[in-house]
Amino acid sequence: MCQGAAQGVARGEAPCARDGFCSLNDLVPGTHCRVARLKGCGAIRQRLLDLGLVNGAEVTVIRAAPLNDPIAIRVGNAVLTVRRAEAATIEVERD
Amino acid sequence: MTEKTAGAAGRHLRVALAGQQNAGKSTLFNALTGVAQHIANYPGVTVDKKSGFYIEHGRRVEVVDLPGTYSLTSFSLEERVVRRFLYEERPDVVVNVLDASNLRRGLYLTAQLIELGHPLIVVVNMMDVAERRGLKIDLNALAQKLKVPVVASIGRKGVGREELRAAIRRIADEPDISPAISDARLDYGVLEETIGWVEERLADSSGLDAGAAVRGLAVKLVEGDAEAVRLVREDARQAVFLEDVAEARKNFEKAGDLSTGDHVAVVRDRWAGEIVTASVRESRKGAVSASERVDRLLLHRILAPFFLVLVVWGIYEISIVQGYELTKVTWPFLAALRNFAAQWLPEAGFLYDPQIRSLGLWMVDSANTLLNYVPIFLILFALIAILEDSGYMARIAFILDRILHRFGLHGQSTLPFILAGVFAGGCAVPGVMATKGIPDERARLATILTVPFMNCLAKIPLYTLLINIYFVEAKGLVLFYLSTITIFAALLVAKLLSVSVLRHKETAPFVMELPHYHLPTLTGVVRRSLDRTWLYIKKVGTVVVAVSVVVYVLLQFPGLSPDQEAVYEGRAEAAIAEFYDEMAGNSYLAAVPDQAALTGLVNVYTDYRTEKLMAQGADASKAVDARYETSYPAFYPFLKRSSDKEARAAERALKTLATTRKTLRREMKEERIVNSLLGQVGRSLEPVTQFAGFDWKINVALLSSFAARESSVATLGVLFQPSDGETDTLEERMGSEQRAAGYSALGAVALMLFFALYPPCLATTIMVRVQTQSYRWMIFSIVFPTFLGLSVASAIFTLGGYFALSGLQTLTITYFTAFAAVLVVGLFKRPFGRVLPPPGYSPRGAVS
Ligand SMILES: Nc1nc2c(ncn2[C@@H]2O[C@H](COP(=O)(O)OP(=O)(O)O)[C@@H](O)[C@H]2O)c(=O)[nH]1
Repeated sequence: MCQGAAQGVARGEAPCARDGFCSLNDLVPGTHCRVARLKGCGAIRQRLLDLGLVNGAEVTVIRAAPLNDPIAIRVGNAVLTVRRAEAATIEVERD
Repeated sequence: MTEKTAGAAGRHLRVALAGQQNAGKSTLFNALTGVAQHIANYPGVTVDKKSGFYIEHGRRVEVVDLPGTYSLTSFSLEERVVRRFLYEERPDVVVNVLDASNLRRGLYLTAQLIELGHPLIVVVNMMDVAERRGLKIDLNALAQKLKVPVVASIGRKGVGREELRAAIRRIADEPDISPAISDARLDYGVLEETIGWVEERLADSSGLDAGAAVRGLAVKLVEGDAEAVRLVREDARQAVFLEDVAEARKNFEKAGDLSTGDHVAVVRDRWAGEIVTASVRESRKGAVSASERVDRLLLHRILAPFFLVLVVWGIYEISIVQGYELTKVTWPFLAALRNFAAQWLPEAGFLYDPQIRSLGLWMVDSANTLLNYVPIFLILFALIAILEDSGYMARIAFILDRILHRFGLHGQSTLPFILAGVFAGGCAVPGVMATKGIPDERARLATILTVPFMNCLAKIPLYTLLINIYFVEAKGLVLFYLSTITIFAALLVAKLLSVSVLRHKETAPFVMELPHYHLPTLTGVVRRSLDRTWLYIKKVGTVVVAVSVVVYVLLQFPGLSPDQEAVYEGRAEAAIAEFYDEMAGNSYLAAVPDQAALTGLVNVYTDYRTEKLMAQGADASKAVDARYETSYPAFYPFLKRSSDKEARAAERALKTLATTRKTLRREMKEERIVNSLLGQVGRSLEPVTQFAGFDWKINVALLSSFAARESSVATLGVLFQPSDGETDTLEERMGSEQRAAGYSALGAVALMLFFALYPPCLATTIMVRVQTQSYRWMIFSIVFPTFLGLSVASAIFTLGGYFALSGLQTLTITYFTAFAAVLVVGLFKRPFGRVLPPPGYSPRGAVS
């Protein structure tokens, strides 16, 4: 379940490989989704969990930074920022 | 347990404030404790430990403001610090501060605090924000669910402070604390069975009561928390069953898609969600918050950089430029301090000053150099506090993280670089201080070690001096090159360090909350600014004064040889004899009957001239005259040119004498530096530094600039002295002497680049020590840049000389080489770009 940092997500992999499942990194601003699975390990995984990105949590992508990375997302009432490399480890299900 | 009970009922009480960042902990802490505060470090780490106290009904209540955390795992430094504090120091009451507008996030931590088994009070802060956003919070329902006292507050208005104090008092007054410990239990579902037997085993083998604390520890063990495992492993009797726990965890993971840690996190989050559903009514669901509306503008893809530049420019303009203006107002006070010291210390002799006088003045000067910056720092720190409290600081990190991350830095490295002087003029000391907030250890160290490359205020005089000598036609261009090449250098070095010496340092993911915008409070801002400035004065001031003594000794000893002394004394006596010759028959001679009186006269004359020079405007100048006339009626005719013939003669004779004395003293000073230990070191370094084109004089200036950058120009001033009169400026003197000695613009380029890369000044290295808690990094911060600077300067000087390039050509080539290197590292991915070495933490501790 935990695939070791960002390596699990090769760049070339087609977005939304499984039906309705994509990585958070592939979504455009304005999209709503639900966390399906975290692929990161260790501190990164724990940090995401602690900030509310647990399985089933509702997430909205708000915007990308001016240089496209990182992105800002809304989880509950809070706005979080994640680098794209980390967002790629978050598998989500589109609403 | 008995120990704790005694603590609670006794006179002293210890309260810890826990909560996530920006929940308003510091604001509440300030409201509770008032002025009685103390900032220290937790042992061995750089995390601030803020504590204070208040006295109520004769009971002293100590309040500790713990670092803000979202959770209590062992993955981040802050969380470990909080955990250790709560485990080891066992505060009597834990106050959990929640942000009312984001309860769910805060309650996630509350769940973990409950499992620690401390008496707990929950403060729901930011009630005003919640109300504005249409959230109605039922505090009773909350208290019932959590089974702890709940207090509502508005930190910035002091609302709820007394209620909180009362709640603390009630717990303290209980003879037994166990009812104060929440018995709310989270239901971990499928993991309950495992947690149950771990709990039993723990209770059996340690003899602990099967209370909340044991359950909490059991949950942590099942989660696979490294710190909990460490705690248990210390007890040999328990070590055996750790393997069983690990086994159970593996089985759980095999069975499903989740790790135990995930499951626990999901349960906690869901629990928090249920409590929110039961106690919060949202009347304006889905409305766009005010913060979001501001962000649409400030974080707009195209406009964001403009706002950022505007803010940074504003900081620079207000703190550095206006602050500098302010130092002109405060400087006279420092000058007065020096004058006071000068009067109070033993008087100057004709040729030799009492050692105590020179040393005393030297120390005052060193201290003044630093104190002079205090107004700048007060403004700077206040502005930063505003940026932090308002929430914009996090947005700066958001905007710039992409670029900085490429070079091993972090979005939050921006501020330290701005402070240290991205534009010409800043100071590395607050820059290094500001690295504290960077959560990523590797990026933080890389920032600390590269911040000193920026152009601090004190580097500017040397640049100006050299530019005025060698690059008169291209002043602006050269200054532009210098101030931007330092940024390239910082980025490249940061990258270099993070793939080499910092490779194994812990890193943290860049997952950060963008807090809602808040209006900062005046007291909060003023207090932070004063605190940080005071820290600067305390930490840096003391050490700088101490080291200035060492530098003084190195510059003074062994001093002049007896032969040299005899020569100078002979010349002084001749000058004095000449003075008496000219004064023969002059009626004013009565004022200087002996040598001591004459020395006194010369001193008064020197002071008088200095004061006249400093006096601005005719009125001030007249006031100086009047003062000297009343204080020194007998000497006054010597001072002020008048129509009286004898007085004119006296004035002329004295002027000649004073000028000779000045020349003699300056020559002696130079001779002393030549002879001094530092001078010898400078000479012995010549074989190495010759490749960079530095002679011993420059070496001495660079060495002494370590105490404070400013002194490099002062020392050069002494070393390149005019032998007669002082009509030439330092620029002209250095220029002609250097040209005579075969120096060139190329040498100046080498020197300036060396100065840009040169190790941080003493004050900064002290701050490096404070921020890294390590002498090794402090030494590294000195040795590495020296080596780097010398290599770069030597390469430039040697290659430039070999290809017979001019100074400007060399600088231009160097500049574009550095720029190209930055582009290569920044734009291309492998092998230079993205791949930073893997983080240095062990995933999920030693057990999985
Ligand atoms: N509107 C509002 N703002 C608050 C309240 N309490 C604190 N603040 C502001 O929230 C920001 C963060 O507070 P601070 O005490 O620094 O948070 P900490 O990170 O938990 O220490 C500051 O700008 C405070 O002025 C409150 O009850 N209402």
